[in-house]
Amino acid sequence: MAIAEQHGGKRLKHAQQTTLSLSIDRLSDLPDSVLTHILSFIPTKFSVRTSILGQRWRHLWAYVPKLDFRQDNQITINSAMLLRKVQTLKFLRLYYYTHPSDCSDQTTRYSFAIARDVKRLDIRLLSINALPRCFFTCKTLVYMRLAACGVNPSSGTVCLPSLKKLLLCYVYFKSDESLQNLLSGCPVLEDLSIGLHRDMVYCNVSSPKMKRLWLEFVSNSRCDRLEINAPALKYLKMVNSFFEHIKCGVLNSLTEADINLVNDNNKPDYLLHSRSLLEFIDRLRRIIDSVVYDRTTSFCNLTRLELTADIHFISMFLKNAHNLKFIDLSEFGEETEGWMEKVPTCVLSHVEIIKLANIKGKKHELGYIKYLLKNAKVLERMEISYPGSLAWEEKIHLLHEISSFRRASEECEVAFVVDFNK
Amino acid sequence: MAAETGTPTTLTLKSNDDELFSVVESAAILSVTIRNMVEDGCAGGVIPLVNVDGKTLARVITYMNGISAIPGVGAAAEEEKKKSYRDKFVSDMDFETLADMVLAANYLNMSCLMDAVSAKIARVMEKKSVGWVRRKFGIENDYTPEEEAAVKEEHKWTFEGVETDDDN
Repeated sequence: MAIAEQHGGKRLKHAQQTTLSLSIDRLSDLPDSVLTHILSFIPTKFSVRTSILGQRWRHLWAYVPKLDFRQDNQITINSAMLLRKVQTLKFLRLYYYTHPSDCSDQTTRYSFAIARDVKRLDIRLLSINALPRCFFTCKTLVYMRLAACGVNPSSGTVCLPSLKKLLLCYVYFKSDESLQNLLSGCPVLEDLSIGLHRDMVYCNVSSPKMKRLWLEFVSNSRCDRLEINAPALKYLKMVNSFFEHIKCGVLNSLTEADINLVNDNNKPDYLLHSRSLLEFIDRLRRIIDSVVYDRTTSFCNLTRLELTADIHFISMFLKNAHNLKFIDLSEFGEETEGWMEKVPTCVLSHVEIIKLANIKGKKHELGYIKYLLKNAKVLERMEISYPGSLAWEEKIHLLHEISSFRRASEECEVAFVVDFNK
Repeated sequence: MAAETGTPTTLTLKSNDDELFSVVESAAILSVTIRNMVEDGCAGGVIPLVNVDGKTLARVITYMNGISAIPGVGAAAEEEKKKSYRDKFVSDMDFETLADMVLAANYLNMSCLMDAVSAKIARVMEKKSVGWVRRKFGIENDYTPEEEAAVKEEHKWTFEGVETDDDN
């Protein structure tokens, strides 16, 4: 908040005052707890400035149970910590956008927070120096986000008994075991997001209670082995993944998966078909099978699977995905004719919804749309989205052709949607 | 009182200026205050909300209906959609409306709405001058000149590098 030079305070004109008076009177009735709640949404340095507003506000900032420092200097951080009046600290945020001037002081700050039963930590340091050990032994921590810092706990040194959500953004792990050492000390972890540093070669994620996992890789990642052991997993998202070897344990609780596989230009195509990768996808397929045939267990349906990969992979996958109900081929548009005809028709015996995007009416596109409509016996809806830039004649041609294709499913509705972004 | 199966129960809410509103119960109980009143047996009649006026209550009900209409496609997608809905909801409001909304959300005990509105108020406050904040919040500058100087001195570490400007 900017500072104004006060010259005895301005008086509002009477006319203005009457229209605003209702909210003003009520706002000043707000209890301190609500005002400090509002202050908790701004960085500490700014909330301290509110002390200049009036007597009541002199110490309000000091009761905010949160400290939020953004590229602040030593004096600011130390002063804010010392002048606080409330004992508990629920949230500590420490962000550096350029290299911090002095790393050594940070340990005292973390100890300070941990001693005050901090529940949430959000740290971005821009330093690969390993975080101190006290970090990993905080009993009250429920949420932790670490970005651009070094993590290197040795085996058995981590004890985070309350941690439920962990986000690691481009964290530097000194060794590949560091991740597993960290996870093994988080017995109740439910939600893990990792944006991986490119140097990690082997990524092992094992957690008994984990429900949500998001793995994001950079395009020049060196990682080529992935191991997931998360039997309670309900939601899995993998972005920019490419693995020669994936090993995956039981995934019986999975209800939602969003897998994005890319073919790194340096690696030949055949690696995409490598055995372990197909076994992984097979693991997902088995869940669908289990649900259909094994009603006594309490599995949930894997009803949605969004898969972005090249056509060789998709065709192999579709050959095995007998029970898929929803197919979204929006990211795919390669001009290869005839590949879909190699996909057996039993593939389409359960699919209910198909979505296709960026359809322009080309021969190969019409070819596979015709094939899908002819063979999808229980199809309820096909949604075809075409670019807004498509010419009038092309649009008419597209609609006319598709409407004339024979449909195996009588209830099938074909919807045409304009995509104005293309 | 449960209605016949298939028909959602609706509640009648009354604002402090005697306006009546009909809301589906599943949307209304986003407010813990209303939920408690229902559990205490008020569902049959009209639920009086003494600290909310009609104009604000109408907006709150729009919010309740909007949030409960978001389909549960998947937990992650649902959370994303709810967050965008909240962001849009508060982005359209002027300061006076935000003030009314924070009071209402506090009284009705609706924590997600409260957080969204508080965050917006905080962002607005952060950018404005001291004079502006005093006017909008109805804060009287009750410092003596000596006290004010003392406060500035005590916290000079936060005021460093700030340009002085007039009330805007």
